[in-house]
Amino acid sequence: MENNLPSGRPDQRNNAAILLSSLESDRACLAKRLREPRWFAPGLGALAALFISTPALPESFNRGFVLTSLVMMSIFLVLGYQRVTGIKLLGFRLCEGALFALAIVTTLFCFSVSLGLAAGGFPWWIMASVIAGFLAATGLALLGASSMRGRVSNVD
Amino acid sequence: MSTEGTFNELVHEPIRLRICGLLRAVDELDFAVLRDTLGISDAALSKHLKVLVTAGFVSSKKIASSTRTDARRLTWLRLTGDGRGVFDDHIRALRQIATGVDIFTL
Repeated sequence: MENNLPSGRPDQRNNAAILLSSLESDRACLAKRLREPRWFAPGLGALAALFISTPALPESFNRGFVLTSLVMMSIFLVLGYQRVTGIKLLGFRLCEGALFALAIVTTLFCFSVSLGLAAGGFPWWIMASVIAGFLAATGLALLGASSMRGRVSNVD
Repeated sequence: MSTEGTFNELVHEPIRLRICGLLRAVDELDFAVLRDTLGISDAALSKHLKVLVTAGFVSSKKIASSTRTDARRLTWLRLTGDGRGVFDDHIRALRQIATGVDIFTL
């Protein structure tokens, strides 16, 4: 492969364009790997749903232990995702941070609804807030993953 | 960092350029993923990584893998701060070449 300059020659321009194009296609391949673990978003949704369902637990249940377990499972889920994809993306961009914040707010809202339903004597209706929380968390996780794929494939 | 772009012979080697390009897109990348994406052998990748590590452009971290039964470790690779700077400069130079701008104009 040519690596000499000056740049005015058409073959040099062509070689440079080919190299730049190969970088783009490499990143596109990498972005595809982030799509592979299809359990990731539903996994996060399931953990949110479990959290939202905790008001339905009997009083004798150690809720602190359940919440700690959910946090640990979330961490393992993220670590598992990194291990399976072989890619680590640390930190959030603005869009991803906003999606994460929205997921937290939505989950907490559904949790508060569950608390109200449990206190009001409607434990079976908690299922509705659990399903809503699962769908919201899963959808937001999918959007976040899409943003991450965009981040990988569109580097300046 | 030069706005004009600085051509780097070491990074310009096609495989090394692609290695830097992939690492630039992420924070850390597994050795096996890098190898599979580039479509080269372990030995070939190791050879190029050694050059980049020696130059201070790439760093590596080995960790034990609980999913392996042969006690091999996972290797995570990342572009260093110097590596990012050199790669970004080189890409600017390549883009100037690709658009026909002579980067050696005084």
